[in-house]
Amino acid sequence: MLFNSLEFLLFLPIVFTLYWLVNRLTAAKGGLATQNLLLLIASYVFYGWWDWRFLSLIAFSTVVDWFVGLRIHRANQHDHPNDPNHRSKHGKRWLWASLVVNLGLLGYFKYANFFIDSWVNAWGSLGIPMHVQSLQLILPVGISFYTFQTLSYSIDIYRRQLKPTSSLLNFAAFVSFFPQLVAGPIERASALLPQIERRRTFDYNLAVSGLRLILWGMFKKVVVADTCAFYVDDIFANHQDHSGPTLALGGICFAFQIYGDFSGYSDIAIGTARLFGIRLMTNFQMPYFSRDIAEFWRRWHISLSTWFRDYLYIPLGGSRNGKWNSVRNTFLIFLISGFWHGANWTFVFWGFIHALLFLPLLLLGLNRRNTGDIMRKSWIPQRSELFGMALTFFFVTFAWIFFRAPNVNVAFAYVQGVFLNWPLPTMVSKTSLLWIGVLVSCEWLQLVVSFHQWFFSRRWEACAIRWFFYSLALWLVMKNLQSQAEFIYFQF
Amino acid sequence: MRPFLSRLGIFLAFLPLGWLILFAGALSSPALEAKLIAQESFWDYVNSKTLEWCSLRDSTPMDVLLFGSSTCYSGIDPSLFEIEGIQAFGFCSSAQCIPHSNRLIEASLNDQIPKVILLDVYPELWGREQVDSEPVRDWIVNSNLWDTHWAHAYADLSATSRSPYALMTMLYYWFRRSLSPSGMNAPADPDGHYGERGFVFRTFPPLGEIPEDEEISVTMTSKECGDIQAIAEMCLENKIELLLVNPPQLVEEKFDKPECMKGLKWIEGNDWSGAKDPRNFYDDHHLVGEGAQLYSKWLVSQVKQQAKSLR
Repeated sequence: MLFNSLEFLLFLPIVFTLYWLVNRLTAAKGGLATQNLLLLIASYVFYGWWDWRFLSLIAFSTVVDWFVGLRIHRANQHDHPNDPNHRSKHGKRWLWASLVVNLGLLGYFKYANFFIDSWVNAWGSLGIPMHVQSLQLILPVGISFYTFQTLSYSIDIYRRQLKPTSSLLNFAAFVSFFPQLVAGPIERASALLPQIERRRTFDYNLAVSGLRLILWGMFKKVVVADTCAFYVDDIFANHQDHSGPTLALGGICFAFQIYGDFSGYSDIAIGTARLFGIRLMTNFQMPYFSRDIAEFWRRWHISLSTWFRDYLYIPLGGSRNGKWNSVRNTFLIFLISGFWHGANWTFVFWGFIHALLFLPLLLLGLNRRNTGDIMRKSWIPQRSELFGMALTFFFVTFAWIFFRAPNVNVAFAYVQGVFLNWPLPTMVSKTSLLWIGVLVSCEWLQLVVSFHQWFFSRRWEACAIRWFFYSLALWLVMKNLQSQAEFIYFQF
Repeated sequence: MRPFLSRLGIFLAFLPLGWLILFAGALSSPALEAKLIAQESFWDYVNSKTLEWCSLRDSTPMDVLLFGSSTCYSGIDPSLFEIEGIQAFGFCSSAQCIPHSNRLIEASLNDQIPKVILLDVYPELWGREQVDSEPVRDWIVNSNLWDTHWAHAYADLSATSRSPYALMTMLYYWFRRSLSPSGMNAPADPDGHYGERGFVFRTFPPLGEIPEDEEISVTMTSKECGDIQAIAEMCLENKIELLLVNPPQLVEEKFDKPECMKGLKWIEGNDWSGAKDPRNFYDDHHLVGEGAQLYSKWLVSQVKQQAKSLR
């Protein structure tokens, strides 16, 4: 089920009403099990709407990780009951079982064809023809997201940072929690599971902020991203026919398309979760206002970058064992992150470019230079901030070309086209530029603390203006909600 | 929970006011209207044909009314029916599928009862479970027919297309058209011009050869079949002869004529001698202006042959 579909528009109020009604009716008996059972059913309906056959995959992954979690914990307790830092060897075996099952499923469904094709192509390039048929596989929506989520559960238990849940129902509700099931944020068990294991009570402020986020996310997806998509698709499909400026504009529009699409999804997911009394982590923090690449990665797809940091970069040694190891680990993380996005060399290239862009900051020790707020002192960024933002946006957009192109050759041809032909733009989508302008302005205003405080204050004029903008945004969402375009990150 | 629901209720009550302010802004500026509500269009000239119908419906009794999609409005020139002494008018519009035609036919019968209804049933548009919202919006934004029965048709179509936006824009244009007719703010159409009686003369260059295309196999949904039956019953009630026409196509769709169409009179456009001549087409199923004139002359003879009331 898509967030931007009529089905979801009916599904959400029904589940919301049932959830809080059931909560009220079962309050005397605790109500937690009923809340979680309802969440689980709703999540399975939400996922099964797309393809019910793959529910078995989630159910299998859930049962395996729940069982493995208990076994790891038992092994830890048995081998070293009094040493909270010691990790058990038996536990490690169970952790490996979880890794093999989860990454095995991910690898089979997502990467099997890629490896088969790469194998055939590699032999073909040596003049040895191979005849291996590609597998007819459908990529289960959201597999990359829920696999990482369940893995974090097993790893955290192995590290003794988390106690396993004894309730399969709670664990199943955690794995399949519908707002973030198919495209994140990839929530840590240590953050989400305790919320699932506690009875939720209705929180007015949380619910209001949730509705606001849903509306804002819808605007970003339906108005900004989907408008840009028409323009971007045409330019990337016929890049050879367009001039340099048009290709450059195509790249910029894609940067905002993917941002609007993915951060829009995250906002809707976080907002929806809030309606059910659950807080999810922030996934995007205005990444295009970043002053360098390192800051960009602290603001873009935060749940994935912190996942890689905690479960891969730091275990590999992080930045502890000298510059060379730091550089190696950084490249590994970016390449794997690229590969996580999809079974195509374009994504690996995209990761590689980001690693290259990150490298100078790492070597000069400047990767944590910009950790503070942007525009702390005024309404507009300082000149140095502005320069940093423009340069970062330029590099990020350059890398997006590789992300968007169907293959590496097209990406290089596109980049060549951007720099070679500079007459006037042959095709400009004024509407895309308009909505990009609106998006950037709104985010900029969110950075201006005094405006932000006034806009969300209880003053009647602020309330009237706010509600007018909400009705305008709702109108624009309705207007653009024609095609029910899928979210880009569903394919990952 | 109660404060949340009451605040949500207050906001929902405020929503029409917010939209009224938006509508007022759109009314005052065509540019704003184009960005926030919709952009008028000359593509299928719904504006011109509905304006012409307004001037004809009380003065000129029509023998034939045409309904259908782009193969109809750019393929059949109703003014050429006069060769045979037949008065005809076309309500065809872009991607007008059978359920859409059904609703428009019902509305048009409030204006006039013709002798014949000619329904262009281009098969590529079959297989839809619901009416697409875009063709519905085309009528809402560009139509100049806003009598109650037409407005009801648009409201029904909006509901069928499951587009709340179409329903809201309908309310806007219902009021908007009382101020000025449609067509004032539409950008010029470089690829054709309005003929008369609903016909659009396409000026695209003709094809040099028959394009390669994948064979498409189509089937009609039960919803569409229901609409065909409803049209047939409506025609029977009003003593109108219903003729179905499959337009000429360079690359033909494969289909089995559904049960609900059996027994209805059928004109096969692909029997026309020019149906496989690429010079008559600008793509695999749309006729250029000149091709449309040739086809229309052939079609009128077929209509006369099949419709008893026109003999």
